[in-house]
Amino acid sequence: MFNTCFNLANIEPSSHIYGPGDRFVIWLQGCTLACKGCWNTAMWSHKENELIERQKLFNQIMDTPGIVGVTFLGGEPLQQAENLLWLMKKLSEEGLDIMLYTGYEFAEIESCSNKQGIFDFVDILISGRYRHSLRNTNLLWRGSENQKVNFLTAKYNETTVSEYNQVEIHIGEFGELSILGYPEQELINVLSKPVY
Amino acid sequence: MSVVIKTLTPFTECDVLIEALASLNVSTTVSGVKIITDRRDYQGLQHFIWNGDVYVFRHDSDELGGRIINNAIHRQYTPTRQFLSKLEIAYKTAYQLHLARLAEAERLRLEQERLARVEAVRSNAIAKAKAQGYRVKEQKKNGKIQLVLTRTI
Repeated sequence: MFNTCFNLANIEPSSHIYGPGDRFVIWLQGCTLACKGCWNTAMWSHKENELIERQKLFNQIMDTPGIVGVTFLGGEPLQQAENLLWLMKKLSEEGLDIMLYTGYEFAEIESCSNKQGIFDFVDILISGRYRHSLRNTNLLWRGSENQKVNFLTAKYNETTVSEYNQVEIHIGEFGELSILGYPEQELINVLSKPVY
Repeated sequence: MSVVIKTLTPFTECDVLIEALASLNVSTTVSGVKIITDRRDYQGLQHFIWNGDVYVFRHDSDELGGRIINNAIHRQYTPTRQFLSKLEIAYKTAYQLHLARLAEAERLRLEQERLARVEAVRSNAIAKAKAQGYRVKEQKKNGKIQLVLTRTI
């Protein structure tokens, strides 16, 4: 869609709640799955948001100290599959582990020729649509009970997963906040109120 | 699916904000507690207004009118989300330039205010999280404070 550029929604160079350890986390812009009740509707549009050359993004990741892996979510990462596969391959070659959140079911990915390549690179795959009727914020790494955690390599396994609710708050140098993860609305409300 | 919510950098310094806007080629006029920009939407000129603590951006949530008006005068309209994102970066750069120009005493005062603001946000976040039953793990990285909240049900 944008040749060798990713269309980004957000980046957090260091996060601890989207997979094991300290991770570089990338939200890709654009998703046509449009799950009812989705929290990130601003990431649905495939219109240009923030474009970055895939090589530049790779360099940025490699320049980030202390991370064990990279996590992709969105939006729908597999709707930028060509660039995603390119980047995953490069990251795997550098020894970083890869986690992918997708709204597609496992079987949908297996049956799609331009998506199935991810199985060569992804260590942990979170798969399945967000179903609002099955919403559960106390699941590690998932938002609804139908979503599956798939361990695709031997790096991690079921013992990695203990179910609990996680939220991450980043406070910037001017007191600006980023709230990530699976907060209840009540927590969002109290944190979003100015305190100064 | 998980949430991503960001609060805007608090724009507290009028001169810094005007300088940041200028660096984005946005012209401004100061009128009382307002900094009026040349960005136009359906409601007219978009502006910042001082609320006693910070400058708050006022604009029409429907940007279609803005695009039409600005495109009509051959000027590319940057959507509000992208505009504010760029402005935050420009403000931080302008703030550093502003600090460099200030006398030492004034510089220290401004920096203390900034640090106090960060500490107020940090203390509030930890207190509110704990009140909702979260365990809080704190660390600093790349100049940011990271709080990881965990709650087992």
